[in-house]
Amino acid sequence: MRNYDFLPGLFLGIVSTGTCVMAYKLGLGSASNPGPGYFSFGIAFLLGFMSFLLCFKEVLRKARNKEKNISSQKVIQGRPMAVLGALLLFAICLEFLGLCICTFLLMMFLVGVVGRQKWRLTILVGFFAVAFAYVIFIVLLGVPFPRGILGI
Amino acid sequence: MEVVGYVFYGLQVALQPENLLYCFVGVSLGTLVGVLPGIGPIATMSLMLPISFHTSPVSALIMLAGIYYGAQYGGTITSVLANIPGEASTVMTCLDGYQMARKGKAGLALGVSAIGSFIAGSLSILGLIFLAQPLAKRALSFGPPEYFSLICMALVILISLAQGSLYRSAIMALLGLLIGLVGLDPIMARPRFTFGLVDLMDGVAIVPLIMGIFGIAEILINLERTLKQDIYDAEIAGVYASLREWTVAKWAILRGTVIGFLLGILPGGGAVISSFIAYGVEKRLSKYPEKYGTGVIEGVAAPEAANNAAAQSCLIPLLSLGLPPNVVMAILYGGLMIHGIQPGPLLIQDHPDIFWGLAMSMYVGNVVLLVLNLPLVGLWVKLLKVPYPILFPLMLFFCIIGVYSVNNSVFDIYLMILFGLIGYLMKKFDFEPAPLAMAYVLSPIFESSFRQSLNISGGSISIFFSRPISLACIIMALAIMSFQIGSFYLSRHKAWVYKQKQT
Repeated sequence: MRNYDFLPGLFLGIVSTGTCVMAYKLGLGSASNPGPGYFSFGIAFLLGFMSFLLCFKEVLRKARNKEKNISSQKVIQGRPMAVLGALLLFAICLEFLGLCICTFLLMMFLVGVVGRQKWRLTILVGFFAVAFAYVIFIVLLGVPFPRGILGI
Repeated sequence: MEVVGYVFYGLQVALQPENLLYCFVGVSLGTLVGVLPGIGPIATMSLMLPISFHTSPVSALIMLAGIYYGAQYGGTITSVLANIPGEASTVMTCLDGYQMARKGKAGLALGVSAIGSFIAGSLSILGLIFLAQPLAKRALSFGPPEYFSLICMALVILISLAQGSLYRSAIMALLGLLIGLVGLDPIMARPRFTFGLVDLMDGVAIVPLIMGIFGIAEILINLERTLKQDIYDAEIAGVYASLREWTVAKWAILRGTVIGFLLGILPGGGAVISSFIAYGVEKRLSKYPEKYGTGVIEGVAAPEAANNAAAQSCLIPLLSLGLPPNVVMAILYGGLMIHGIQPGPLLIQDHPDIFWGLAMSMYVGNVVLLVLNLPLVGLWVKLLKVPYPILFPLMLFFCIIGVYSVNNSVFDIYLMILFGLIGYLMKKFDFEPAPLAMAYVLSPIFESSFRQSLNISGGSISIFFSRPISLACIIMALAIMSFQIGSFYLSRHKAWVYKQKQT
């Protein structure tokens, strides 16, 4: 993967800069009476410094034309991203569609599409997951899951 | 005599039907995830954390601890029979365990590791009983400067012992400290880094964070690999060692127990490191080190004893000082926190049922594991054949409903997905999640003790150097840091010299 050190360094650098600004606005106080931003400012500053060094290392390596040998396993693949997308969609639709429908659809996607299993097995796993969630979490533990438009 | 009374009280708690059931569920689940490669006890404990919310605190802790030490037993089965370490802590068992299986001694390897683990686990519990209480009493005299220095030392050790780059681990620890600071300021009660979100007022919840960076990230990484295994299929017999074999194995078990027990207490230590060191020590002390890796019984006994001893001794700093020494203990810390119980020196005094019940339940759990492991090994091997495409959707689903059920909040699901993505990217860019999780857990105590210390001293940092315990911790942290930096530059220099010689 390109920018093995640069991208994380840059991201963490942005996070630390933002945190430093927010911590400063919160109030640093004094050494004898530290404010809410005192400790977080120190930590964020240290993080920013270390992130800068991480980026600098990458720039230095590129300047020396030394390509770091990183295996193909480092490439971000599509399947995990598809799974994360499905989970996000589940969370968005949960209150509208309810637990049972969302669970069934999620299982169909994960087992059938991502896992590439036969449809009969996919439907079976989907029904098992819905039944398990309903019995354990709704009936036995009484967790108030959203029921959705169909009320189930 | 007081201890004897407490031991009986603990047994009484552990043998209550509800606790017995959760102990059985925990160790069975632990063995199961230990057997299945790609699913670790950390991911499983984080999955079970929300479910533990619906039980009593004692039952929750008994179940969560059972998963951890149960996984150490389960991991051995795949290491011996399939040459796949079900757990990172059973990597060393593969070396000699699988070779023993190939020589037709699979039963013996499993038997020695199960009985050795039982002995080590039992001795470690004794250590826990006798060490945790005096340590907790001593810790009652700790003030904010001592806590600050102790956490400093813990973080330095943790970063030094983390796998991979030291520098990247330090960055993760700093990020973890920042995440732990989200929420209301503990002294002035002002919201910090909440972006106006009410859901973040109480801080970033531990369950979505742990589930995300360990559970979800591990599943996503596993989706990219295909796990192929060559399982030993012959009948497993002769699990009990002969007298001569016991004579050889007993010292390895005892040495492994001592190493595991001591390393389990140290921050950043635990089952993985202790099993590696125990194997190394055993090989160094052996009269026939060249035979290691060809099926030597001590090569199985020592790492197995060490990982089980460590799995139980690492409870000492958590239960007596309130400081989790590794990420598994951080999850147990979370298990106590969601029940509103603050781990620390007062835990043994205020909640004796939790401490003594947990300690005694581990004895019960070790007996259950012995019963589960030896006769049922064939059943566990069959589980290795469950396809991952069916397993992972169910695990993801349990993550979602689990995280929702703690606070009945969809926001927690979003948070878990976000940390899942962060954990996945961390693995891709070779950042260790353990320092982040540990630092996140320690962050609130770290900040409070730092600010309180400065308040007491009127802004002078000399307070950290003027108290003996605090000074000792700071010196220790500096010594470890200097050693790490020194050895880094020494290895670089050696590499440079070698390169110069080559050219």
